[in-house]
Amino acid sequence: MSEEARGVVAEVLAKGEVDGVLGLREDEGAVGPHYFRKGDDLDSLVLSPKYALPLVLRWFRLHSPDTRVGAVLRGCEERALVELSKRRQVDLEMIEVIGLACTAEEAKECGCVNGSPTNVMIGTPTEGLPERREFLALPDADDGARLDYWKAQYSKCIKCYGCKNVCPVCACEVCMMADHGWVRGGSLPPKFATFHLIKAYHMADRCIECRECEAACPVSIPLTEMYGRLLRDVERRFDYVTGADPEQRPPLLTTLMDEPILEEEEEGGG
Amino acid sequence: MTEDEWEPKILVFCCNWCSYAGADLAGVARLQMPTHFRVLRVMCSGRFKPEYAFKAMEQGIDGVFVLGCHIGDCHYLEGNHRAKKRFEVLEDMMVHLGVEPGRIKIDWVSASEGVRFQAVITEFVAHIKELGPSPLGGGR
Amino acid sequence: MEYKSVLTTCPYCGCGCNMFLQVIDGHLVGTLPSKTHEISRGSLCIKGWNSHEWVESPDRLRTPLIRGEDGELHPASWDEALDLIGSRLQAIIDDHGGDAVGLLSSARCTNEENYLMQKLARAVVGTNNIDHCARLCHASTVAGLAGTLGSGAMTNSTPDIPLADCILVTGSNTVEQHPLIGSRVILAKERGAKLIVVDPRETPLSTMADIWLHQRPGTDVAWLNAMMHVILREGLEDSEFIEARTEGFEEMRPVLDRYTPQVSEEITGIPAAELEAAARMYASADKGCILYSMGITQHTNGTDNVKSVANLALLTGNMGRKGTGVNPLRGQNNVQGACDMGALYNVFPGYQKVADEAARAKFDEAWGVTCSDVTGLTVVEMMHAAHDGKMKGMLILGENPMLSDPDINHVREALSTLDLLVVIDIFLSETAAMADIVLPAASWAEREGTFTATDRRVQRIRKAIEPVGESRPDWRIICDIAGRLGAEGFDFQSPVHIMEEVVTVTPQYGGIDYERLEEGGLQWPCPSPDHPGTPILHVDKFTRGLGLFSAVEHQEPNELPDDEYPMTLTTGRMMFHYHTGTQTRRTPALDQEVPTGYVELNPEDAKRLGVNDGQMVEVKSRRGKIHIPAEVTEKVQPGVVFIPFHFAECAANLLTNPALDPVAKIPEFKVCAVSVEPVKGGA
Repeated sequence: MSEEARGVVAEVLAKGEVDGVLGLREDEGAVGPHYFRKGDDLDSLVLSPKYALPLVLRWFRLHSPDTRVGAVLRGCEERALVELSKRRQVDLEMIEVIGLACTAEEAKECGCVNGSPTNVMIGTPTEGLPERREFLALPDADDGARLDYWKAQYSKCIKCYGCKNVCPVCACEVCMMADHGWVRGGSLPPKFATFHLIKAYHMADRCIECRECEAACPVSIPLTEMYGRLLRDVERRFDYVTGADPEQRPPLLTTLMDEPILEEEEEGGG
Repeated sequence: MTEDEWEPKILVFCCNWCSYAGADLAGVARLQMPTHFRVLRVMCSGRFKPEYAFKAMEQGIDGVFVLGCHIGDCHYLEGNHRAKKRFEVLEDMMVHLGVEPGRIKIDWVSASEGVRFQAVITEFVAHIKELGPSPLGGGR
Repeated sequence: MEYKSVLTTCPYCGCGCNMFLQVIDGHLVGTLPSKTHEISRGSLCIKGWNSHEWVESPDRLRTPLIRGEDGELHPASWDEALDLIGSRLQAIIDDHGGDAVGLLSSARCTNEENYLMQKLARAVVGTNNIDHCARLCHASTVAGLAGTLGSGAMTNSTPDIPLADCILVTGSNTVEQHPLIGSRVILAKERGAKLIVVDPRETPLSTMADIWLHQRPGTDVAWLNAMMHVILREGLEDSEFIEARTEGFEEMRPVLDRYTPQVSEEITGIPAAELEAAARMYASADKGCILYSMGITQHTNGTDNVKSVANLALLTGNMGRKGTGVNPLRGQNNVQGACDMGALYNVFPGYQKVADEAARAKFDEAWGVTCSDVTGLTVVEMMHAAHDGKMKGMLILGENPMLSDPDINHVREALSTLDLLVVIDIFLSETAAMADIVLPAASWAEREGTFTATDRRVQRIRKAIEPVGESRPDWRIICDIAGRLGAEGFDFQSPVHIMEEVVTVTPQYGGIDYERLEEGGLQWPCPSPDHPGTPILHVDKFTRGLGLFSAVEHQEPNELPDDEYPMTLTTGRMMFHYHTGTQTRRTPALDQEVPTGYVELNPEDAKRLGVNDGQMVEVKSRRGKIHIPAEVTEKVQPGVVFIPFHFAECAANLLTNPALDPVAKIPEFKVCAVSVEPVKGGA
């Protein structure tokens, strides 16, 4: 598939409508993000592992808002852009999405229900799984057992903030997780459970299930287990699906009748 | 502290324009109520954030009650809409976490509803007493 | 728009995580962990994630500084500064000899720079007075493990720690000090490995351990001996291994016989039954892995402690296999490499002894000089020599002894006595502020080179942005100083060329070159270009041949509590700051976590002293006193207080005891006697 991708990226660069294309490169014994320009050798372009490219696109917008770029993005990454756009963190007009379809195996491994990006240019479009992956690890039965489970999981936390740092849709200017009013500074592990619940609550109407947070967690806390459940709740209660429609307003920013709330929306806030 | 000595600690967030006045009215009328709650006046129920509930329970609060104007009567038009929607997500979170969702509640009390204030508070305190100490209290 | 994602190695601890620095239009905008790297695996700790934040700080030194007649430091040109260093250093060498000069190298700098510093000392200045802060952290490891195993480094690799069935962590707050190793211990424990923590202080790992023993500080030999006593009593030793691979067992045995769990309990305070349980747990594991750090090394008997740890692993055959070993966790990004490169008073690169005539001859030939056979001075000894007026000049590269060394008041007096103090650093540290000449160095994000991680993993760092201001890479500065002293053999054009020289004289690095490192790290020993590197040491035989048991006796710390100073102070680090804080305290994300120091005080002591949480107290030792807020916590045992040493305004090292281990010359940072009382009028 990498070969196909090189062809597609070369074409996009040749057309000259973008300054460059953000993708992944294998070099110096590692794979990481890379910005390909017209005329660059594309042999080093690869497609995995996934990196949080929407995060890089946010940095692009912050430092060079007038540069139009292309980006090789998977379905979840495209959905991240949609959420960021709702919160005015990226300008979708300035990003040409070169859709990359995950393989069926990749989708299965991720437990992805959402499937391919809208404009698949690399690979063959795949459907997401029919249902969200089973949350096997979390005992559904008993309150006490669930609470014990989360206490054990969250107590592993080493407070690296990786889940926040890597999150493509975490965009508040001042993070409540790092605010002493909410979470005491310096405590390790952070006291159960405000630190993690702030993040979880903020994910309820914006998580796009890329699972980058879990990939960044050095102690394997099953973060999306909580986020995914909240997404289901939000979908059920408010008929809202994250990352689908840039025009649909997040339900926590509308009235009970889904009308916009008449106030200046907090930058990135929820 | 033994189980017998335990008395619930409850926070009640009252909006400035309706519920706080309702609470005041209940007080002035000397309506009998349990004494296990502390009222925090906020300008609007929409000022309440679910994060307050996490923080309160982390610090040993057993129940959080939010009171605002009735839907349609919000001084800021839609603040209570926002509170209501946030609360639904918060309740779901409590369930997933394994904490009884009954420990948090939202309701509406107008400035003239002193009696209603007495009724909802009495019921909430009784419910928290039934649930016992919060499993999040003093957690680490 | 120019965007670069530059692969490099984290500048903080010895884990050796790899990350991509995110650069837009020549400025650092973020950090992403490498997902394909064996150590980081897509993760970093809070320090790594924010390592870009301080690089372009307005506080960075941007020009050389020379102290003028008004006593202030003034900006100067590179030529002025270098010429002045050259002439004044030469004058000291001419008048007093090379041994009147001391050089401190830096475990924060690259292998190439450390190599050059010791070469500058030995081949140009003509002295073995070269040392660095490894003296203050793992000197006892280098001495102790070299003696017992033949190699003073971590025996195993970070990735194989989770393969252990039982992990014994002692004197290491692994989660906070080596987060990506600590996280592996947490994951191993979650998967069912047994975890034993022996530490006087509560740590994130001790709270999840199967067994946590909290000994009285400074009594490690006693519990280690008693553990071995129990293992032998119950026949849990690996006799086959002892027979085939070790020597000295019979000589050690009578000593162990005396250390019953009851004897240990009297010395250490660890209940005998708990110690027995821990001994059984470790000894009955198929793969037992020991992680240790400064709780073991920073004692006046640090070398003995290390030997004792090695004894325990040898006794149970936990060597040379995956998931086993004796694993000293090295504190700094390149403290392993700085030692490997011979930035130590007694060894050339590759631990070739200065006292060894053949080794000297080898370096004489390589460098075209005659190396001094006079034993050099260590960090603390240099300060004494300066204090006594015997040392006239010091060149300090990227170190901050004014905060990191014991008994800072003494250090200040020593440094102010010098005729010439030159400091090369990225910020005006407490030490640089005392210098006659300060040279601005390029940071790790602004230069090329290699770091060697704690598991002997040599890895590249890469230049992401141009050096700020007029700052220059350390290797270039050292070469320029050597040039001003008229030396030859320092005309390197880049770190690649320096490494080419390193490999010719350092057997362990013989097969390392930049081209190979482009494919990822290499673990030494890597003696030849076709050698794949060595993830596990001592597989079939020990570096010294047989593993050597050493009979070791308990010995009390140098300074014990008494009526005047009734409490024991132990010092250390924390997750959110790093060493003397020059970088982390200029990192908003870290500063906001912990803005200043504190003293941990047990609630029992706090009550007795009438101290509330957050209240200012005065902590006093024979050497100094500080005012510092109290943190009342059960993390410390009654009678013991803990202070992190990062904070200049309440510096733990004003209090610490400079008493040295006689072999390794490491100071006893982990135990000294102090008094604590509330500050009058303190809130």
